Formats: sequence, C-alpha cells, structure tokens
Amino acid sequence: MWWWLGLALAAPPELVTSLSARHASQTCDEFVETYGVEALVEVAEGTEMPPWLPMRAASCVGAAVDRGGDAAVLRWLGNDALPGLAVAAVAGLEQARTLPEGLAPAVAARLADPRFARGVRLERSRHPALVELVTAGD
Amino acid sequence: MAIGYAASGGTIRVTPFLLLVACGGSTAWEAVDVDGLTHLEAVEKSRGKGIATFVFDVEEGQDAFLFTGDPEAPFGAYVRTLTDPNGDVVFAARDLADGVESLSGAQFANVLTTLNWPILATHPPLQAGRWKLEVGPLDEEFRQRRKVEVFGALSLKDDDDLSAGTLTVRIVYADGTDQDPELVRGTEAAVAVWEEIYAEHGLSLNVTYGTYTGPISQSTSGSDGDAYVAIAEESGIGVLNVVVISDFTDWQIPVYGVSGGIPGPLVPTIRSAVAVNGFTNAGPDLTFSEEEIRIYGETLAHEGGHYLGAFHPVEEDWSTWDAVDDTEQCGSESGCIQTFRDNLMFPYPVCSPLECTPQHALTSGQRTVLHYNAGVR
Repeated sequence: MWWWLGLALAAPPELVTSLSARHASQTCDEFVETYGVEALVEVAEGTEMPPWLPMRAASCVGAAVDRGGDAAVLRWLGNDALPGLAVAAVAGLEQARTLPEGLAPAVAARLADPRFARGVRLERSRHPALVELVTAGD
Repeated sequence: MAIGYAASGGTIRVTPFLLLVACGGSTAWEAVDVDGLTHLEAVEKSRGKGIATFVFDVEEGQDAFLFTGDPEAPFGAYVRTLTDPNGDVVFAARDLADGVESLSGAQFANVLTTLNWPILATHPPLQAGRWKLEVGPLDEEFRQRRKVEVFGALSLKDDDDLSAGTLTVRIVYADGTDQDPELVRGTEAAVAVWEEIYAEHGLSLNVTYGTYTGPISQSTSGSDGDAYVAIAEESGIGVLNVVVISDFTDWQIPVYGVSGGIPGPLVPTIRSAVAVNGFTNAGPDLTFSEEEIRIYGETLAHEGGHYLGAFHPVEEDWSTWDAVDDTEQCGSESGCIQTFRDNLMFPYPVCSPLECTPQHALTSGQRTVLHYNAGVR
C-alpha cells in the first residue's frame, strides 16, 4: 500500500516511481495495459510531487479516453482550479484512436482560458473535431 | 574574409569569420573566432571501412576539447576511437559496447556525435601533440558507410583552473511561453536555484534571456530541429541553450526536460539545446509553489549536467551505471535511493507526498566531468 496525502493510494508504487522519472522510458499504452486507467486517474488526482507525476498520469488517462478515461478527462476539463490536468489530458488525446462524443465541446468550452489554450496545440491534432475548434474561423 | 559553410545534412549553419588553419595534419581545419575558445571546423568524408578521420593538434596549455561530428542526412554517427599523440587509443566505443558503463554519448549511435576529452579525473591531462579521432557514419541498420560527409567542430579550451569556471547559458522562451507571466516568474526563480546549485560545485552561470517565435516542440528531430538550429545560431558557439516550451501535443513518451546530448554540442545543430516544458514543472494548478520552483531549478541543473557530459550515476534498471570512479555501483532501487537520494544526477526526485529530497549533491568525480567540458571556461 502506498500512502499519499494521508490517504491510502491503491496505485502500485512501481507506477508512481516510473511516472516520477525525469526521462520516462515507458509509453502511456504500456502504463494503461500494465496498471489500468483507474490507477492512473488515482495518481493524477491524488499526488503532488514531483509536479510532473500527476501531469504525466493525466496525459496517459487522456491517451486512454476511448478505453475508460473519458469521465476523468471531462471532469478535469470542467475543473478551473487544476488547468494543468486538462492540458495534460488533452495532449494525451493525440494517442487515442477515437474521441468520445461530447469531448470536443468540452475542450471548446475550456479554450477561453488562455493558459489552457497556450498549453495545447489543437491545430496539430490528429482528431479533426479538435482541429476545427481552432481553425473554424480561418 | 567571411566564408559560408554548406551545411551537412542541413543541420549546421556555421557563423562567418572562418580563417584557414595550417594544422599540418590531413584535416583541413578552418578557425572560427570564438571568445575564450580555440574553435576549428572541417569536413571529412568516410573512407575504407566507413570511417571519417579527423586529425588535429593540441597545443601546450590547452586542457580539454569538445568534438561534434554531424554526418550528412540521413546518417547517424558515433565516435569509433580517439588516439593520443603517443599512439594510444584512449577512447574506443568497442570497449564500452556492453553498455554496462556509460562514459560519453559518443559511444552510442545517434543522429550526431559529441565527445569531450578528457572526461574523468582518472584520465591523464590533455597532452600536446597530434590527436586522431575516428567517426563512424551509420545507416539505419547501424552499418558504417563510406563516402559520407561528416562535419566536424572542435572546441579547445585553455583553462588555468579546472575546478572553477563559468558556463554561458541562454534561456529562450519559445512556444509563446514568454506571454505567460507565471511561467516567466517560475523559470527565472528556477534559474536562480540552478545558479545556487552550480555555485556549490565551483560553477558560475552567465545567463541571458531571449525569445523564439517560430513553431517548435520538444522534439529535436524532423522539421522542429530547424528551430533548435536557429536558436543556437542566434546564441553563437559555446553557449548552452535552454528552450522553455509549453506544448504537450507531441508527447509520445513525455519528458519534462531533455538534453540534446551527453555531452551536448557547442555549435548550432538540431541537438544544441536543453528543452524544458514549463507547464509540467508547474504541476496541475500551473502555478509554481516554492517546492516546485526548487525542483524546476534542479531539473535545469540536472539537464545542464547531462549537457556537460554527466550521466545518471545509475539507470533505473539498477544494473547500468556511469563510468565515474567515485559513484557507487548500487544494485537495487532501495540501495540506490539510499546512496543517491540527494544526488543531482539521480534519475528521479525522491519524494514524500508533499516534498522531495533536495538533490544538489555531486561526487568529486561527477564535478570533474562538468569542469572538464570545453563549454565551461
């Protein structure tokens, strides 16, 4: 059992260690396959240090948005207090094959936050629905 | 006379003021005017078994050099051997091929290759006389190829005190990060932490700031590589560029800071920078706490350490190590944490829920690696 913020963190310590590395050597797919989406959500929402640990976990949840990560990603997109999780999760969407319905409007709603908008490069996205969000007026 | 240099592989554009140097060797070096360094550049073509040979003279008083070999596209390269004036092979990639110990990034195949010499405190002082360095240009199947042009850049330093020195650093806000006051605040505070850490080891930083407005990502390959060349060209030779970006979109295997080499080049190439992602270092609220600023500063110092030639004392497999003599070869995660939890070059910060152990320490051997780098003068 791994204790974090005074709470028992069920996520395996090996996952926390791997995500804490300065130079990650495993892909999000490998993390998802090995530990599952729930463990990654728990790390994203339940850890603080080092600062990239929750960010990296959030990006991997975004990568698994078509494999059970959608609820967490939508939750982060609606959380103004933690814009970094939304930025990281949206970056992770680039590794997802498909986008669940309703996700693009949630991303669009968040674009009014300039710090969120600066952290994502939707014009480069592999998902046409995200590209349209920033090129519709061109 | 200003002479333009035709880039090898489209990755290097050399500054003007080239003067032909009568080195007396088989390599036709041209001298480039660089403050505080003797800087030479040349092109050699691989011959025989696919080896490009650079011959150069080290003069009395010169203490260390850094060589970068950049093959024409699409080839990669490594340093095959380095031979001293006595004819002794002092560096041979073959001797390090088992990968158990990492001495220099030059022992591995990469898109370009960089070797500083000497590296370790146990290496003899740089000897005056004629040296020979062999570069192996490699194809995609890691076969040495003939008739490949390799651009070579050699920086030699004359350093009276190899235990103290200054590194010139240029922080470049790219990707619009200069428009984010919190990222700028956090970065400048982190640079101050970096200066404190290096000062503990006899290194001072000469820091300037700039911006880059073109497209860029963390990746230093492909089209974005041109951005890193452009940034390094503006900085000039002998500068460590630290590029602060915010883009996450190309995160396949994300990194929070990445060095262009171990060591990194001192001339403009696609790998002539440390790239750091400002957002990842700020955490989920994208606002820097004091603890996050300290860790961000340690990240800059850690990546700067890579750029100057230092490897992790142990990799996360706990079975491969750096070649530094006084970094213990620990053999398990718990043992390595116990030994290196405060070491600047440990692969990750050792954290409890709300804080991480400060990582400022370097062994004497690691410190020597940094001070021997030709970029420190």
